Amino acid sequence: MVSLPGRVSLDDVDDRGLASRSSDGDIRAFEVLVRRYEQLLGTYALRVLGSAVDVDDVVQEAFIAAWQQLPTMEDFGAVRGWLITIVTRKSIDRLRARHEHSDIDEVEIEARSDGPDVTASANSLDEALSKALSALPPDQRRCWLLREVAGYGYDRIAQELGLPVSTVRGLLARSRKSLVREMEAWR
Amino acid sequence: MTDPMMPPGDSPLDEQNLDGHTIEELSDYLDNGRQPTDQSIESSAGAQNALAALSRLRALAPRILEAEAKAAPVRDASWFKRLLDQIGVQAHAGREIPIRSDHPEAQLSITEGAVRAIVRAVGDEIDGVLVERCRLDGDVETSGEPVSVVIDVSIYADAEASSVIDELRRGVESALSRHTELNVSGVDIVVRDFEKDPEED
Amino acid sequence: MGYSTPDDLNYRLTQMLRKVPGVTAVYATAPVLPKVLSTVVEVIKNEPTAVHLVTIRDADGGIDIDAYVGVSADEAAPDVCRRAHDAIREYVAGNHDLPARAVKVKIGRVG
Repeated sequence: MVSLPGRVSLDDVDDRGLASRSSDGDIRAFEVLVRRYEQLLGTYALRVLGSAVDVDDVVQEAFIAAWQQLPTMEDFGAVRGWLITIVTRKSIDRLRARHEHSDIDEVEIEARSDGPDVTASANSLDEALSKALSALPPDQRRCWLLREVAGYGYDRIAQELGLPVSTVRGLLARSRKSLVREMEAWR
Repeated sequence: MTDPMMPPGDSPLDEQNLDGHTIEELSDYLDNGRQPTDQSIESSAGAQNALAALSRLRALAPRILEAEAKAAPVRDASWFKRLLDQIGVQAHAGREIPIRSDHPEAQLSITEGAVRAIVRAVGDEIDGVLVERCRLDGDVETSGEPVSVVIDVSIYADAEASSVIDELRRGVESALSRHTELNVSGVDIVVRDFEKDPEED
Repeated sequence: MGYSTPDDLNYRLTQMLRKVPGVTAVYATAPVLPKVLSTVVEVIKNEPTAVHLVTIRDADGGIDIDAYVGVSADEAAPDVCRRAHDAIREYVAGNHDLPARAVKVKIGRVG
């Protein structure tokens, strides 16, 4: 017999079951979802924002919004992508607020490199790509994340980032070119 | 291994290797599932190399963040429990179910959300079943009106479904008669899912 | 006495309710709106006790009181609810210059 569920065994429940139970108001189930995804969402938010300043707030607000919106969610199995969408939206809101409050985009002040040596010190392919992602200019990196992690199409990325679709296509192509170069260096 | 056709330091997405195609064009082609078939792309070794590289990159994308997330310092989530303890009872409270009192100016009630939590807790004490959601059908806000309880559950593989469902029904009836003054007309249990034993993974 | 302002009474009623046998938590009665969520996050993160819990309103010659509680599953919830209600009336009668009129006690969680 399976003993279900104490606090421990909720950890074994899949995303769909946890989301369904959370939508019923179960804080414990939602906590398991929070623990399951907060590292990933924090990392993703850090990548989209480009600095650690607002990461905690974005992740916290995203989970609170998720908790409130869960009862209206239709496909509980898709909770991972749904959380990523909420974090994307919250992160972009922050970026917009930064633009409104200063003429200089602080996110732009970052190490940039177009050269092939970014990954020279990496110990694995994952690490090499991670460094290559850091080295991308912020707009390229954001486009790539919204496309490959959030799964957005060109139109939606353009809308979210306030850029023409043609610009998004170009930024994505350049980001892919840089990342493929690093990836190939590891083959 | 580096492709022997390419000089060192060269990348399949470099312009001179794309056979006249562009990264944008090849990305779009890949996004569309290589449909409709484009012979000029399918017959070009350079374009094929580029498509293969783009596919590999796409396959690696989830890994990059997962690896970073694993390496990142563990975040402190304790504040979250406190917050949910407060907003949690409000966000999902639902209707107010009256509790009788002898005092004419007393307005006593238990929320629908509290009742759903009671139902889940009953399930938590029974092996092999997970109560996912529950719904109260009927006018719960008027004392004495008949209310039926509809419960969505998952049954785990080892459990004997019929006995688990009977046990859950009896437990829910007993808990609701103890903690509420609802007139429960029936408890309907809907099996949403048969799960395999999570410990067998 | 210092018990006479509504805010003070609010705080004292919250403390009193926490000691009623069977009461495990006192929740905020004022709705937490999504619009002010960031403020709420700030308040709860830094000062969990600062959230307004029991609500008191002036009523016809007295005061109306709203409380929102969690109760233990060891006893029948309606019994604990009635006990909390009676305790509020009794406390106000002994510690406030106006009588309690409508007293609303809502259970948000059992166990």
